[in-house]
Amino acid sequence: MRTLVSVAWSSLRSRKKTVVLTFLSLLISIIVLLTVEHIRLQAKESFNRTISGVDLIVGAPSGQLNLLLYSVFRMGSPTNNIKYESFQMLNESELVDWAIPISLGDSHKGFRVIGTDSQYFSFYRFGNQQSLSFSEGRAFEGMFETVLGADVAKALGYKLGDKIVIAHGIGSTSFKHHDHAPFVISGILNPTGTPIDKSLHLSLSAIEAIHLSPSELQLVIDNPKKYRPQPDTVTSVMLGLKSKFSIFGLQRNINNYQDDRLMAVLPGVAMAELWTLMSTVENVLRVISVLVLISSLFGLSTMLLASMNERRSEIAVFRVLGAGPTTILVLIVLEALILVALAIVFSFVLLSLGLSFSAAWLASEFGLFLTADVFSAPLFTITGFIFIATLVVSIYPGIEAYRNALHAQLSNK
Amino acid sequence: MQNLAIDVKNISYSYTKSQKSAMKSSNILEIKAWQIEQGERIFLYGDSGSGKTTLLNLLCGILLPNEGAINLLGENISALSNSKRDSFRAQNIGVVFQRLNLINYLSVLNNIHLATYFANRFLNSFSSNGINNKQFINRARTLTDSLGLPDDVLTRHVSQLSVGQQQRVAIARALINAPKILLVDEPTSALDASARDAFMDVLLEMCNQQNTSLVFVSHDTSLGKHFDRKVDLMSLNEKFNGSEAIHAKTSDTSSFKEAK
Repeated sequence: MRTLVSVAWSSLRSRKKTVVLTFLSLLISIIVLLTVEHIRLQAKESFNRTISGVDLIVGAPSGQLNLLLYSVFRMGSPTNNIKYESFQMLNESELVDWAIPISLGDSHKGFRVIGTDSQYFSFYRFGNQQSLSFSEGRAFEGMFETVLGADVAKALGYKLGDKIVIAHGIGSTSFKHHDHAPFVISGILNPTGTPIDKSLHLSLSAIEAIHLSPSELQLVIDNPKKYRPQPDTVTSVMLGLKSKFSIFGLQRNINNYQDDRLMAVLPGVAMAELWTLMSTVENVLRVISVLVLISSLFGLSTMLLASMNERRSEIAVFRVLGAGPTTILVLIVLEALILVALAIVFSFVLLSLGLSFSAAWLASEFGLFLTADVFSAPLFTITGFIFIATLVVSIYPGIEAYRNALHAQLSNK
Repeated sequence: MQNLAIDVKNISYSYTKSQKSAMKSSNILEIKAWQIEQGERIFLYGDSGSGKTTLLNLLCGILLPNEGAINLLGENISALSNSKRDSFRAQNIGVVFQRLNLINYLSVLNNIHLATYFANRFLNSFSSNGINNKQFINRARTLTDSLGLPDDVLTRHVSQLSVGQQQRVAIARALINAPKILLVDEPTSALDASARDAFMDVLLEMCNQQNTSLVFVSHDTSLGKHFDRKVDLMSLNEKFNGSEAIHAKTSDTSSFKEAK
């Protein structure tokens, strides 16, 4: 077998021009296929790992997907807020283990600002039930303290104890800067690979405070103990329940709540809706990349077939040396497999290089947290399928060579 | 009888796969009986179309006769299975043809190695695996040396060799497995006169050394002087005997004697 592989390899090398072109077309199509598949899997993974252990998300009535997107993924703008009393009602409910309020709508240099309370740092879970941890400092205690996500601290070069200004609105240049409210960084979180990395966390009172008029704000800054602004509204509430069995009952009660207009959604159900929406796009991408691969495999097959004429005498030599027609077939298929194997190895290398260079950019531009580790089981399955497809398309030129070999004879021509 | 290298009995061959003897005229080759002893060297000549190449293809088992049997070294090769016949050929028959004997994209050493690879892989799949096998390289070198090829020829690429050198490499490859039978088809047609004589000398010398039976096919009767037995395929091939009155219907044995 080693001899046959080296013969096939030499044969490929002797036809450099066509072989290199075929190789490039295979390389490009395999990279496209692997990239689409990797990003698809990683995007799902990245979304799924963002929220974990939350039983219900409560917000103002809109679509369940909308609520999920703005409260968890910080995408889009909240439609409406809910009353702070509703949060208190939920927090005090017997069924509820913990409740995390979320208040959105402000930003700092393009990073989202989240109003919440200390429950957030104790109960929020991401990934595989991991809780948030601090790389430096601690949770906020005073009103003018803030906790930064890992990316925020890194991107803006902030250190523990720095003073920063937080503005109203979500652009990086806001018309109305809240210059009077300096915040002290009390803690920086460890990276999570979720939108939390790109968020600044304040207390709910602080969010209220930065929206006060300058004179009122001054009063609060001078005497924070006495004038602690109470929030009127929050954007959404994440709930952890004592028992999973009460999820549906509580959801129904929340949806029928009389004193406020509320909607409760199950994150898993909303996520599933997201996937059904995305699956169409996913499938289109997959179909396109599979078609591209098939077309370049046909190119490979064409190259092998086209070489068959000039190989007639070569095949006769093999026959005379005692090679059976099957050996000739194996040689042709080996050439195809060697070429595809090389293309696969190169595309894995290029893909992981490309990902490790663009990971930071993808995370900041698209909120996609991709790993450069491309050696996952689904990608290996695809690799297996590529090899099977290669076998299938190279069988035809192989059979052509086999028939050629059957009729090959010494000839005077 | 036991020392017969080639023993052909009542064979016929036609390229169109018509009913066996229903259309006798479509046969290209019909031979009643023809025998070559071990170590004998035969010059087989005949005009184009007399079936020379067809006979060689039959003798090395690439083509099968429609009728009759071809016994090589006591083995009826037409009765062997395809893969057995391929390995029999690899082990016992060396073939050199007119041109394009070598695989162009391999080095000379690799070309020669292929012959041992196909000959040995049926016996022992591991024995021929390493091309570094010292014994093999020594033998290849001895052969190329005695064929008058340059010292570095083994590492050269086929495309770097002259036609004459390529033909000699082809002989080295045909002889590497010490075959009992060597079939050679117009190997000198691409060579000029001086190269041709040198080639013939070397070829016959090698066959003498190894006691190889040689069937040398050519239409160039001037080469016949190198051989102890000459056979005219036109008279051996019954196809011509039956239809054409010009050819006296001589028996095979008598024609052998004439040639001697």
